[in-house]
Amino acid sequence: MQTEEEIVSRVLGGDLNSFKLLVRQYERLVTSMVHRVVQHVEDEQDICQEVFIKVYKHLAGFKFQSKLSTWIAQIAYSTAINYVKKVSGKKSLTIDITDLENYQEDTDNPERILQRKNTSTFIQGEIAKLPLQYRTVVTLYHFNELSYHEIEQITGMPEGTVKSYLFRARKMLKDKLANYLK
Amino acid sequence: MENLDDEEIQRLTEQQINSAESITGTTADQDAQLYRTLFTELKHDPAKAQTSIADAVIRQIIIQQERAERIYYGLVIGAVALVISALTYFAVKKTDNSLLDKLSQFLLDNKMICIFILCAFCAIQLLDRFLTKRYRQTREG
Repeated sequence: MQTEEEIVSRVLGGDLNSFKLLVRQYERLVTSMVHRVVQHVEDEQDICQEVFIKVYKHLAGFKFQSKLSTWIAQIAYSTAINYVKKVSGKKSLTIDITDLENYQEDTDNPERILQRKNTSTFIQGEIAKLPLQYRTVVTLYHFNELSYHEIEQITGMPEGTVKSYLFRARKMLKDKLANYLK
Repeated sequence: MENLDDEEIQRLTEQQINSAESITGTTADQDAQLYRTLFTELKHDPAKAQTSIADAVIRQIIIQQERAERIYYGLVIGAVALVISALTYFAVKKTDNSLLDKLSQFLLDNKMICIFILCAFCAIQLLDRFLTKRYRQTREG
């Protein structure tokens, strides 16, 4: 089992096979994050590739001040956010109160409920409808199992904000689940 | 449990899920049950990579490296050609100045042919680059 330092030094020495191993090791983290943030299936793979190409180009600048996974997640997050900004035409992506209102008011019609196979599918669908920052922290905390501190490093949001967003997102999901299971 | 707010319920439920504790009677109210369902579902990420992108990434890196190398070698060849031309010019000028006059006169007399050769060379280079790029895209795409 190679350490992160060994893999990085091999990649910097021009060993593409080591980089392939590195991609395989972290592609789940990257694809999961990009999938949740971007929500545009056609472009997800291209963005994931772009993330790893950036990782390859900037690997020499990685000084092991954080975990490699956190650094890669940072690149994935900023690449995905830039894509969303580009597509939406917005310069900043603060949580819009209308997003929250839309989420709260969004009720499912019986046809859509019938289409959902089970609770899991329902929850995944509801996560996809959460405001961007909320679904980002839910993804990083629950699916990628990162700590509050790591999420802070990746997204640049203060730890208190991360906790607050996570709490609110889970409460919103719980309320939706309650309605669904009624 | 009924007196607990959502924040406290979330914290307790998360602790229970992570430590795999059994569900006690006190936590069995509706909110706790909903959070338990939610937290259990959030432990499974369905958005896993279907196919590895590693090969595609490596292919992209190789293509970019080849492109950078081509540009680098192009610049090197250009610089070498320029140096050789300059050296030749000064060498000829130093040994036999009349030879340069004859050459200049020859180029002036046949300037249209020279321009045609130069344009044809540039066109071939551009077409070659354009067609090769399209061929690569078709083969990869």
